[in-house]
Amino acid sequence: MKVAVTGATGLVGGHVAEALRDRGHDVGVLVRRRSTPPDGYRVVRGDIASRADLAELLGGAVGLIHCAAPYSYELSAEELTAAHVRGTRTVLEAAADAGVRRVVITSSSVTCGSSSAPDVVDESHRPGWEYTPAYFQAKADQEDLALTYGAVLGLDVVVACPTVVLGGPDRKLVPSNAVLARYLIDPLRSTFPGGCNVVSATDVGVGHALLLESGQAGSRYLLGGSNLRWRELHEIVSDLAGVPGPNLEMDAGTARAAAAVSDLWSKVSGSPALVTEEETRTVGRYYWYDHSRAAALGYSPMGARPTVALALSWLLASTHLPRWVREGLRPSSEVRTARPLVPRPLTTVVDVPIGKAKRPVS
Amino acid sequence: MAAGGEKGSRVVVARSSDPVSATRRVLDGLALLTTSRAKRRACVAVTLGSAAYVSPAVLSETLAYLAAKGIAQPDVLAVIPQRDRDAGWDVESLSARHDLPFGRLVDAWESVESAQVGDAYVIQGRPVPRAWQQAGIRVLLAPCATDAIDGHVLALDALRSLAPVIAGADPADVVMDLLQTMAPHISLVDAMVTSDGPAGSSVRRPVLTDAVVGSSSAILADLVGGVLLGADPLRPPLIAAVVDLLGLPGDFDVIGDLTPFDRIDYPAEQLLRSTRGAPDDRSVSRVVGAAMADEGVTTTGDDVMITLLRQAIRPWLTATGSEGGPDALAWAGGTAATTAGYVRAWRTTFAKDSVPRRQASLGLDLGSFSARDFEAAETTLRPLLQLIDGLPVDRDGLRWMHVDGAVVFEASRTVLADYDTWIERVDVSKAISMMADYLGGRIVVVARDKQGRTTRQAERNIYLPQPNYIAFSGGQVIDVCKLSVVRHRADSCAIWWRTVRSPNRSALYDDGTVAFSDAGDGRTRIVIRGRQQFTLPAAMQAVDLDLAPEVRDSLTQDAYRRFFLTTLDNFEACYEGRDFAIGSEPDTELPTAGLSRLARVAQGSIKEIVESSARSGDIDGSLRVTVDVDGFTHVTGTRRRS
Repeated sequence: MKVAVTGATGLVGGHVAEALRDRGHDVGVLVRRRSTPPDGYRVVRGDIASRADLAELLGGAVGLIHCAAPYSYELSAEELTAAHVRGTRTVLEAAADAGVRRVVITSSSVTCGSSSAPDVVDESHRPGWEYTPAYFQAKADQEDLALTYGAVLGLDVVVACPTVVLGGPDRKLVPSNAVLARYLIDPLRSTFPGGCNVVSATDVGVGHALLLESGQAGSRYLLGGSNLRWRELHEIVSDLAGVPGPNLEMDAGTARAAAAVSDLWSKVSGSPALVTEEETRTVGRYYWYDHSRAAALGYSPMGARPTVALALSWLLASTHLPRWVREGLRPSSEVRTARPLVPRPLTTVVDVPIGKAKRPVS
Repeated sequence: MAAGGEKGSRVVVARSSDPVSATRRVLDGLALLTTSRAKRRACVAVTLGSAAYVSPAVLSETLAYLAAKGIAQPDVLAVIPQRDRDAGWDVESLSARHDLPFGRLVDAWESVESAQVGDAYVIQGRPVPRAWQQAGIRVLLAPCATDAIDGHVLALDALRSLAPVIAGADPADVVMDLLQTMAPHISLVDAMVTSDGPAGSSVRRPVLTDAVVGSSSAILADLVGGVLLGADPLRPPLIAAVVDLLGLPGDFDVIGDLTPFDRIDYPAEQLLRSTRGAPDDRSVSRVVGAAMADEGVTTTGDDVMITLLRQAIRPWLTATGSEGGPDALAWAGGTAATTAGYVRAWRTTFAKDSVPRRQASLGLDLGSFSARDFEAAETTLRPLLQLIDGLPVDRDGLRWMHVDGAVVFEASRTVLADYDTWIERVDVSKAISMMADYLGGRIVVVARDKQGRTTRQAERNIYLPQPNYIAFSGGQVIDVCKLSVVRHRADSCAIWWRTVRSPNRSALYDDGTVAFSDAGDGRTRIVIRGRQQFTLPAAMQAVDLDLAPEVRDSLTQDAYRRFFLTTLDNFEACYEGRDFAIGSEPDTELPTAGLSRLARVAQGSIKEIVESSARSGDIDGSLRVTVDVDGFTHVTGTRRRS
């Protein structure tokens, strides 16, 4: 099947494109002009705001998975709405114009709400009175638009709701992977009350492919993995990374104070904040989800430990962790062998700081 | 070629109040210019500093001597010490300052070309003065002066100023390269007048010493010059480093009187220690040198920080000992060096990407090693490594033991990468330069096999201090020169190396091997083994950790785990094409230049704001805004009114 993917240079989009290709689809990807496209796909360079670029991407395609949207707690509500809602509208219209039949929209599990108690919720659940960060709201608005406007346009729209997606490669440290990075950088190795559901980016990629192939139009599907308390997650991270911890449990107030310090440091240093005040306002709640509906389609995510091991293997190969943090870790063999190494193209010049001889001496 | 350490060198000391006579006696005594040499092109490099310079009489007599030998038109180059260049001096301004009749002098750096030297030299391909490189006869004229950083500066300091400033390279390496590839045939030290005091090279304090020293060896000229100054001749770090590599000149003649000069005020040891900074960090000494020199004319005010430092330091340099000048200088230098030391230690531990990378010469005379010396890398180490074969491997893939004060270790990992694909991307012969904390160095391939693969090589490796935290106790970089052999087999390859020299004596042993082998099922096995013993800083040597083996072993385990896990990660990064090198590109600028630019920008902004306010508020009177009784606004122009 000829399909198209937006956001293929992102964490989720990259795995979606890979899963589709592995399942035998002819995959075209839309990437920004300055981005390095992934290998092995039909590449269209452009922008999702451009109908012309979208038309080029979608020509002849019967399916589309729209992943392109910022995963950020630092952008304003206006910026998020523009990217998630208006971007999705443009993509849906272009898909309808191009005759695309099925569309999968990447949303988020946060649109299914959370609980104050360790309860597991499914797709029927919605946010209640809890605090809703701008990102959460943008995702909810995106979903609403996709399902209603998609139907108006005559598209079969399926909504994918991934939980906390861990993995790599992650060019920009997304908030989900930042959970791991933040814990490893934190000298106190703090944890906090509440919990989340972690899922591997690899599984989320496969889940999207399943939804494109057989998801029910007009439905939402949670693509989750394991429900864990934050402490349990951090214990796994510690064990796999070979560091002690967690050593301290922060309450919501302390976490917010830490976020304020992190925010201040990011403004001083110019580096992205590892945690935002908005994120810390979700501390104490349980974002636990049931993915039975997707499982009925064949979705079968890996467990929490291999998920974290795989994510750590990518994180250690990135620059998201400062060098002094990486050098202090003792990763387990599970992390070391979590992923096969990817050989560089032989034309790549590796920067080795040596004053090497320019002419061989015989 | 006179490299400085050859047999049969001669040094002549002529003592006379007449510079012409003294110079002539030295040159005649050296008797170096044979007829065949006299036909060659000659170059005379004469030092011209703000406080220490060669007298016109010595130069004139040298030129007259050359002319008498049939060399009528030598190139005469002015050599300005780096400290004076940094302070903004050029040939014209220095000639004018000293009122010297140097009509024929041109700046040595006015015409340059790439150094045509071998792979072992850090100056390879770098600019050098064209006339100096092309000359068949090279004559170096240097003044005699004390120096607040080096103790004293003579011929080798002049040669240093003839060498390119290579960011990240030790000046001693550069000088040694010149000595080995384009050394002066005659080195004269003009000690008719010595500039002494705490910083004679920067603040002129002339003392009549009535001597000229000459030699076919610049090293010998400096050693004898040091004796005449009544100093330890190896006190200047530059001379010490050169002698360490090239050795003391053997079988040389001394002609003349070596009685030390009277009343030389030599810089106090306390001052020298404070101004030098860390042995592997020249930033402090370069800033101090530039700030001590009198302000030049070409870049006045460009480096605000240097100007401010100069204003603080110069009074101390000119003050007498009883006025506390040298003590204040030592205190300030010590404070700067200590601060720089802590910054360096912080970077070493927590900000490795900000540590300047290093450039270096090979530091070995390859002609002195046979193929057997290279092969010994494997034959001497293999039996020792067998000692750890029976030890268990820990969670990190590490095993190690102490053997006679050294650590014999193995670190291993099996990676999910096909062997053939692996060795195409990770060149085992470059394995050492991919190791953790590698700052730079040099690799010279000595032999290759029929497929063009390296089989023997020599290399110099410079790493951050190990373990990193010893930088806080003054630990210096690991600097080692090695001979290596590389084995290539069908399903494995390995490099074996042994350390034959450590220029800064940072390592007693740093021998080892890295092997890649086919582990089957699309996997590659990496094994690093070796023997290491590094020199701890004096502060840490005072603690005998052998008395607390638990602590010692814990520290050893942590250090080896960090280093070799990172090294294994680096191999993986190389395979995947990720950047893994630490450090930043070194800068040839003075460390103060960035701060000064910042200060200028701030100053400019403030000035702009003030001027803007002045214009709008009529502060400078050039514009006048008035409102008449009818409410019309009148603005006067800036034209002067008569």
